[in-house]
Amino acid sequence: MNYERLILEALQLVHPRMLTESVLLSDLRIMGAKISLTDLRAHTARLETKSQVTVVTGEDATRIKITPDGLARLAE
Amino acid sequence: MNNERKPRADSILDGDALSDAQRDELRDKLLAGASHSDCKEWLRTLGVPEIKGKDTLTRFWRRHCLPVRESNRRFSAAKAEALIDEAGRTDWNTATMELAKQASFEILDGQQLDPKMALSFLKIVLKADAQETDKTKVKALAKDKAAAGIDALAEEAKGNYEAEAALAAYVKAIRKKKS
Repeated sequence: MNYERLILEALQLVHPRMLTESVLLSDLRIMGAKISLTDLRAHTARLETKSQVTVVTGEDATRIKITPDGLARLAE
Repeated sequence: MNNERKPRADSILDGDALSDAQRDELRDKLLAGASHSDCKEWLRTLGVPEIKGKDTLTRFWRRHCLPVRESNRRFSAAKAEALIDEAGRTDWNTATMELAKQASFEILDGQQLDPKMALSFLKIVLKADAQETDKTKVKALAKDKAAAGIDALAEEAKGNYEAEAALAAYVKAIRKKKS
């Protein structure tokens, strides 16, 4: 299962809005991904280093949005 | 040798065991957050053979609920953008606009706003509402002042036919201009 692609696809749906980590994790699990919060954070960190997502850490929640580079990756 | 394969358990939910209406109802129950065990119990009351496969409802979700949820989520995001853009707040900076759109999206999507975002959003809404109330008050005050001015003139003009006629013509002209 390509978790990075799944993450980007979930974020593309709501672009330019963001999804919270908890909502994104719930979405991935519903799609059958056996993924923990730690795993999700590792995947989003990798995507962020590739500039395909932006991670915004707030006081109460962390939110993630897809970037133009992330959209371009999905279009490939 | 019997080569017939046992049908997948989830084909029961897509087959004749459920009518289209019942399938839609199952879809809506899952979308509303019903647990798998509650759904299985409900299916039992319909006489559907017991579902033993642990991924049956997960597969049903992916086939029937996910497309609806994705469509609703896409709509919520678009609606939030449109709502806030249509509000036409020229006094909001980019950060405020983004916060309003994100909070609106999360509300429309049925998510639970985190406390900090909820508070920030409420402050924006209350401030915008207070500004609208102030605008309305200023307009009403201006109207009152104008009326008070005309009342004073009318008092002065009492008994003076020409002055009364001139004042009446003036008021008529002003009202015509406003309409």
